[in-house]
Amino acid sequence: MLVLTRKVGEGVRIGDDILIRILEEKDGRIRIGIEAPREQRIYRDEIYTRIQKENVEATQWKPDDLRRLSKSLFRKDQKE
Amino acid sequence: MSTLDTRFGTIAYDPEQTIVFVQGMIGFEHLKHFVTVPSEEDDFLICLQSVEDGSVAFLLVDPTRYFPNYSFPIAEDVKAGLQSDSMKDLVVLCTITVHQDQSITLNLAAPVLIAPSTHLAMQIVLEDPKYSTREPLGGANS
Repeated sequence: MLVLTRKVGEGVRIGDDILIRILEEKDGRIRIGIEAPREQRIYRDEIYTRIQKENVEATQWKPDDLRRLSKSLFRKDQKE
Repeated sequence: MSTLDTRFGTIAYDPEQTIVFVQGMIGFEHLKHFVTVPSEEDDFLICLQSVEDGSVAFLLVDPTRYFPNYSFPIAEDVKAGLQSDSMKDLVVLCTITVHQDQSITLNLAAPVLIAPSTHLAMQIVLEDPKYSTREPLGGANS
């Protein structure tokens, strides 16, 4: 991992079109501002990792699950 | 029609009906093309099969069947990405996870938006903590 030291107000550029700027440091929390092309997906790391993990798990179903799924989900529909 | 080898066997699909993920599902950014495979069991379960990787398929469902109040604002960049102007043109689906203990959860935190008019799709992330990646949806014992 590349490690850089920056002060508030300074920034880092990644490639030609991404700018990360340190905006504020207060009580151990750091606010950053990010300028990037809008098609660039930007998420908090822990959220991205959680979704990524869930997507991988969501591909692990087996053909046998289908019948059971539609049965139990259908039953749920009936309740409502 | 074209054919595709999946882990459920060979399926036939119409290339014209391919759904293109603008950025891929999160963690599957390299997979852009998907087809919906009709389920033999029920039509409310949608199987989204990757064209590029036969081993990757997601099960999706309309979350409002179970959570009628589920809604969220759609950012302008998402509308632009899907080339769709209004929310009502979009189909909102959530992925289902079948866990080892057979419980079933719905990922409300990262819905999949599909624009039927453009065949473009995108998975977005809702950072609102009220939306769980694992909202229980019953299981074997429910």
